[in-house]
Amino acid sequence: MSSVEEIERLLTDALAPTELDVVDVSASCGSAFDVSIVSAKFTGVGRLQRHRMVHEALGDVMSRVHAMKIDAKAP
Amino acid sequence: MSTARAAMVCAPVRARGGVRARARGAVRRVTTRAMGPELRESVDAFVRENKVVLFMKGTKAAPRCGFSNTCVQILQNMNVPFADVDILANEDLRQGMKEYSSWPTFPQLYIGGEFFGGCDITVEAFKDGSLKEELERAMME
Repeated sequence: MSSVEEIERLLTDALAPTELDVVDVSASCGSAFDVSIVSAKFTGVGRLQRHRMVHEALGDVMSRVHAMKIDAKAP
Repeated sequence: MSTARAAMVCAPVRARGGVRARARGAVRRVTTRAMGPELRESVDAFVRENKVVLFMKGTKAAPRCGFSNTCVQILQNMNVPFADVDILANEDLRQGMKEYSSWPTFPQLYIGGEFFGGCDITVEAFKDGSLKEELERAMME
């Protein structure tokens, strides 16, 4: 299982977001999250690749959780 | 659905390793269970022969995950013919497709032989009209 804090830390370290909102949508079970992230690192990066950057930043978390809804945008 | 699909689902996976990078710019994670060359070739052929393919949990008639169901609803709403592949029916395919697409989750939508995205991207593209454009382009080819 994962936590909001762990996901926030991983994304903050890798992507230096200017806006970040991580919500556990599994009744705090740590198995499903909604992530909304804005980072300058997404500037000029396509939709698919933005999501891949988030997956990469999250590493093993992606295989531990059941669901990860991602909204990744440039400022 | 078709012989191609049956062939893909039944393709044996004996080989290990020797996986080449496919997706451009993708970060490839090394797993202990590499997609075998036969299965890879089956998937190559299947996404080439079918203009729209949804690798999903369950079938379009009976989706077994809300995210897969969302994509089925969108494609049906757009009146686009598409092939569905139930990755829950084949564990090698399920693990292999994560690697093939460089994408860790399902559903995975392929349009015109190219990986288009997962559920969030499909929903976003449906809303902003880019999914329609992409589908129309693929259908004309």
